[in-house]
Amino acid sequence: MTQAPERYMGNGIPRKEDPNLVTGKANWTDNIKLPGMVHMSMLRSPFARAKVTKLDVSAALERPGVVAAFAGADLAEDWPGGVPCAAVVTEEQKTPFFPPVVTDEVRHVGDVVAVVLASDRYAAQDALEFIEVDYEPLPAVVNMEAALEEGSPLVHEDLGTNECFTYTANVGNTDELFDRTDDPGDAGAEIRGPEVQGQGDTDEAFRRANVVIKERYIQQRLLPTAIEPRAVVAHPDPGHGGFVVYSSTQVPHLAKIVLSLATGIPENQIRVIAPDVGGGFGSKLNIYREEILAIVLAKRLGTPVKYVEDRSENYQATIHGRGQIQDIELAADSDGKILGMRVKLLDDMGAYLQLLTPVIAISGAAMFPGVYTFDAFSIEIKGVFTNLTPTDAYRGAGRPEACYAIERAMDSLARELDMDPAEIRRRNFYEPFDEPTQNPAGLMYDSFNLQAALDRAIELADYQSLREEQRRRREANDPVQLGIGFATYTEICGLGPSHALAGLGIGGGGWEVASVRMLVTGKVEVATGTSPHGQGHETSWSQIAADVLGVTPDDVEVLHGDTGTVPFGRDTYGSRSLAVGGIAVYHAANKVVEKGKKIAAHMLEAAEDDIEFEGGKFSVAGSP
Amino acid sequence: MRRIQVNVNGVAYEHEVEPRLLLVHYLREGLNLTGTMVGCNTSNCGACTVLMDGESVKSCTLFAVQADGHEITTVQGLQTNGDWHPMQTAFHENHALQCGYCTPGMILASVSFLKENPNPNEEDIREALEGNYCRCTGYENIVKAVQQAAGQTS
Repeated sequence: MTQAPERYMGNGIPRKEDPNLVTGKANWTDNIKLPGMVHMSMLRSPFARAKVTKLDVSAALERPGVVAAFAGADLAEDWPGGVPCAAVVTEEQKTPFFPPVVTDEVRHVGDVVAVVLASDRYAAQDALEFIEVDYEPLPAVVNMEAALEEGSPLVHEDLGTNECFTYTANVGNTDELFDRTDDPGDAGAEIRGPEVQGQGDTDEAFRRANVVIKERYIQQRLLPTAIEPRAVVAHPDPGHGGFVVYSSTQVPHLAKIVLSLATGIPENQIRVIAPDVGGGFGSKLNIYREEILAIVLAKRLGTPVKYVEDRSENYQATIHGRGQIQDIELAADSDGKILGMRVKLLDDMGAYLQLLTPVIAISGAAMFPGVYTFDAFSIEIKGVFTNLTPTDAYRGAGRPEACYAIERAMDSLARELDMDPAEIRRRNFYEPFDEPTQNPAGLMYDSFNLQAALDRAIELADYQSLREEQRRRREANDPVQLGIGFATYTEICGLGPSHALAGLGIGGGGWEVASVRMLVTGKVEVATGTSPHGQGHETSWSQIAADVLGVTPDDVEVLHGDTGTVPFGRDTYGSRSLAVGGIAVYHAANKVVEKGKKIAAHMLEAAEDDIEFEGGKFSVAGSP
Repeated sequence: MRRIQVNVNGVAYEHEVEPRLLLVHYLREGLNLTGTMVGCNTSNCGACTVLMDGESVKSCTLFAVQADGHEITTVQGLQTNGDWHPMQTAFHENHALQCGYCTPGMILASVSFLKENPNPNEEDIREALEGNYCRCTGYENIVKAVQQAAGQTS
C-alpha cells in the first residue's frame, strides 16, 4: 500500500472506468448472449389513434426462425399492473391503464400492437411484415388546448376527459393583486411584501404594481437520445429460479420493484443488473413496456429474451422531455420591483403515464420565482393527455422549464421599463444571506450572494464593452449582429430524504445505501445503491473511500448496478448520486474506521479514545 | 448467401453471410467484436465507426459483403503488443469520455483523420469529427485529446 497524497477528493485522477471503454471491452446490454436466447421485435402503430379491427399473427408464426408471436389479448393476464406510474400528484389524478401491448386501440405512434420472438433480430424484424393488422383511424388530439375543449377526441374514452390532473399552489394573493392591477378602480387587497408590509396602505401598494407582463412561452418536446439505445435481456435463472434482467437503465433497484408490481412476479425472484450504460439523461429513469414484455415472455417461453430498440423506436417509444405551454404574468412597480407572479401551465402527458410523468412539471413549480424575492405567487398546472409519446424526466425535469419562463419574463419586464436586463435582475435579487430563507413558493434556499456573482460575471464578460460593440454593429448595420442574454439560475436537485421530496408524492424516501467492506488483504469493496451511466462513480466513490481509509483509489473496488450484490438502493437521477450516495459512502467508510478503533484499542491495549487513525494506520496517541 | 473473406484486426476470416447482413452485425454477432456499437442505424452518430483499409467508415450502413477482400480495424485491434494506441491514451488522459459509448467510434474517426491531416488546428478537428456524436457533450476534451495525439500539446 503506497502512502496516500493529501487528498484524492477534489483532485483529478485518471478515471478507473476508462480502460474498458477505450479498448472496446465494455459490457453493454446488447453484448449479452445466452444459450437459447431469442430476439424480440415489436409491431408498432403508424397511427396516433386508431381502433385495431383485425390482428392475426398466424402467418408470422410460419416464418423462418420465428419462435412465438403474440397479440395483446394473448398476454393481457401477464401484466395485472400494466406499465406502472409511481406519481400521484392530486387525489383526483386520472391514471389510465397502460398495457405493454394494446388490445383494442392504439393511442400514439409507436404504441405496440403485437410482438414477435425469433432466433435473431433479422428474422424477428422480417416476421413483423407477416402480421395481419387492420386499423380504423380515429380523430387524434395532439394539441393540449384543443384536448381540453368540449367535444375533443378523448385519448382514453373511459376516463371521460383529457385532463389528467389540476394542481394549484398559492402563496400570497396573486389573484387580487392582478385583478387590481388590471382595473385600478377597484378596492385593493393587502399585498404582503417587504416593500409594503406594515405600511397599511394597500391602495398605494396597488398603484405601485403598475406594470404587468403577460407572456406565453412554448416548451417544445425534446428527444432525450441517449447514445446507447435502450436494451434489455430477461433470463430465467436456471440456478436459483426467478429471473435475471439485464437492462440499460439508470434505475435497476426501481426496476426490480416495478417489474414485480407490473407482472406479479415476486420481487425476491427478480434480480436486475445494469451493465455498462451508455447515457440516460432521464430517459432511462423509467421502466418500459419492453422490459415488462421481456420478463413476461422469458417466463412464458422459459428462455432468455433480448430486445434492443433502434433509433426510430427510441424516438417513438422512449419518453420525450418537456412539452409545456407556459402562461406567466408578472406584476411590478415602476422601479421594476416584482410584486407578484401568476403561472398557468399546460403540461403534456402524452398518451399514457410513465413512471413519473405527472410530477415533472410540479417538481419545477416552486422554481418559477427563480432567484427573485417577492411575496405573492400562484401556480396552476394542468396535466393533459394527448395522442403523443409519453413525457417524463429529462435533464433537470421541470426546473429548467421554470428558469426559462422567469428569465424571459424578466427580460420582457426590463424592455417594458426600458431598463438594463442586469439591473432588473439586481433589483429583484435577495440581499445576500446564509441562513435558510423561504422563496415565494415556500421552498427554502440555503444561501445566496447573487449580486457578487452577477458583478463577477459582468466583469469577466466585459459587459460594457460588449454593449459598445453591439451598438457599433447596430449603427453600422453590420450583417453579423451581436446578441447579449442574461440568465440567473438556482437549482433544486440531489434530493435526499426531505419534506420537499415527500411533498412531490412520488412514493420514494430518497435515501441511499453504501456498504464499505475492508477485506482481509487490505483491499476495499464499496457497494453503492447509485447506478452510474457515464458519471464516473467508480472513480469518485474510490476517491472518497480512499481518503477516509488511507488507501489508494486502486485499492478500492466499487460494486454497483446489480440488485444481487447491492440489495437496496435508489439509483441515479436528478443529480442525487454524489449528494446522497457519495455521502453514504463517506459515512460508511467512517464507520469502518470507528469499528477499527475498537479492535485496535483491544490489540494495542489502549483506551479507544486514545486511538488515532491516519494514513491507513491505527496508533496510540503520543506513541505512533 | 455469399462467401466473404475479410481481415479483421489482423485475423483472416472467411464466412457465408446473407447479402443484407450489416457489417456492424457481422463484427458484433459473427465475430463477437462488441467494441463496435450501433447508435442510430442511419450513419448519423458514428458510434459504429471502424476503419476499412485504414479509412473510417460507418459499419451500420455498410453490408458485410462490401468488406469482402478488405481490411477492417475495430477499436479492439488498435493496441500493439498490448500497448494502447496513442489516441486511446490521449482520450484517457484528457477525460475525453464519460459513458464511453461513442468512444470507440470517436477514437477510430480521429485515428483516420490524423492520417489525412497530421497537423490539424482545432477547427479542422471539429469539422473532421462532425459525424461522431457525444451525447454526454464532452467535445472540448475530445478535441484536446486529438490535439494531444497529434503532438500539438504536451
